Amino acid sequence: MNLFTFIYLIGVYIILNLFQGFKQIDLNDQLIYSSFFILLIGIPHGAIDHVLFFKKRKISKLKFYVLYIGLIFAFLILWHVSVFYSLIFFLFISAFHFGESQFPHINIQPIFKNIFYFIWGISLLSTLMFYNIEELKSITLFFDDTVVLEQVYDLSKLSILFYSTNAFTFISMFIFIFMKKINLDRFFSEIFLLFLIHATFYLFPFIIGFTLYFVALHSLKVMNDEYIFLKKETPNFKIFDFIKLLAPYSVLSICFTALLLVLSYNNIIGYSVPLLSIMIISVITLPHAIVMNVFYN
Amino acid sequence: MLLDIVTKMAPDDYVGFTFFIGYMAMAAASVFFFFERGSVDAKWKLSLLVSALITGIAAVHYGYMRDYWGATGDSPTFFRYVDWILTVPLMCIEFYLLTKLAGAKKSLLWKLILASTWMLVCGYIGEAFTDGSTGHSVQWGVLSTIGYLYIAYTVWFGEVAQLAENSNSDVIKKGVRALAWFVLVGWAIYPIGYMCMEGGWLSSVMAPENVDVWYNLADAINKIGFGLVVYGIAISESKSNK
Repeated sequence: MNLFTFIYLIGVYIILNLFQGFKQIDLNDQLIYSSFFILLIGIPHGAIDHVLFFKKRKISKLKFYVLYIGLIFAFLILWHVSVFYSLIFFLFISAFHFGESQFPHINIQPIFKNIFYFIWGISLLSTLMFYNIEELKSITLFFDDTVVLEQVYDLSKLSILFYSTNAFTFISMFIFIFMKKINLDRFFSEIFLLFLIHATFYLFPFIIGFTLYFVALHSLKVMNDEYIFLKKETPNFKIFDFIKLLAPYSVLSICFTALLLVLSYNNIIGYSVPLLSIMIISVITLPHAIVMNVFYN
Repeated sequence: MLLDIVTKMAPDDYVGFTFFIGYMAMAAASVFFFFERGSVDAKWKLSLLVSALITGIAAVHYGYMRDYWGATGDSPTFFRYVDWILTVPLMCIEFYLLTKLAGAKKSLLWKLILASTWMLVCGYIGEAFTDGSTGHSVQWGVLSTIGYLYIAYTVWFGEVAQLAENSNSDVIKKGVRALAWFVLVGWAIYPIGYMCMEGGWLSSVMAPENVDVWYNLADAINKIGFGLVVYGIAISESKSNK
């Protein structure tokens, strides 16, 4: 078990105790608290993409920013053209990104590594959706512009994905241990983590389950990887330097996100708050996932 | 009394079944650890004695719990907590004894004993003195969980983990890690069981009447397994010193 799994475990116990007391947590409260943690920890984990990329690749600043922002706008256009395919695309990118951040340095052939990242991530997301499909459907059907997303939550297709990708993930762990790609301790840690993820996604509502994973197991872990890398690269690099580095783009992203959501809430933008939230997260995930792929390789 | 219970025990009473199994398994493990003290170096004898005490104390209480269950059909909360309050701090002592050779200080021993006692006393107040309100259950549940998380942190990342890492013994490193897994996975049944009690949020996941079965199985695995890991370390280290 690593420190991030332990933080996840603390989160699980806190939420279990909250449910023990309140039995149910109102959807609005779930959204408020989840947004707080996603903005506080989730956004900053992608706030130094430019720094990481410049350390890894020789590229002009102008070219980087044009490509980075260009990808954001290209994805926004895709959202405008097709909400359904954009969501599918977003889920695929996220799946790969989550898998890569979980096993960044596993020593297997690149093609198998990429397949494994992708399927590990799909197993994670399909598990989250499989256990919470009714809740997802009710949220989706609540807004006119998200109704189209209901097609994504098809139980029969989701079941196939859920069982096949989870079986693949478990079998991969056994293969890795037999091939000595991971040691016994890592093997038990990963199996324990999968069990913990299943238990929490099953027990907790969709938003809480996702936030807990995204904040504790993904964002904090990635930030730690970034910090370790920069500490190696820069003499006397301290945690305060890291926070200073994260702050500008984090604040900018949070302000911009808040502005868009306020515009949506006041019907100035023609997208509902949930759809706009998914759109914002997805368009910043695309370039971030590409940068992290370069970073981890 | 016992004969009376035995004749009344239904063949499908799986809770009673696990109480009988728990009682005999703990007693057998206790005899095993006690007699195996002769097979290990002097510095490991105390660890094996503590292992024998853990299972021995548990065997006695399992005897009481088995009779209580047989006579009343109720969950023996009182005896269970008496057993845990004695045996869980003893398990924490095992961590101290293992890492003592790598320089563990007495303060570690007292911190672990205090945290485990805190965890159990808070759990007992939450479970046994309930006024039926969820506030009571949550308040004592949270306090108890803090004790558990402190122990888990200490053995996984804190003082115990660091001492094991610095011990220069692979056997101790692996042994402490194995015991840490017992704390993480095995001991998790206790807070989960707490939330499964009548009116608890997880009572729909695990029915309150089944909690005793899980407690009995977990107790047997945790206490005997814990002792066996300590025994494995003691035997390996004793052999390597010959």
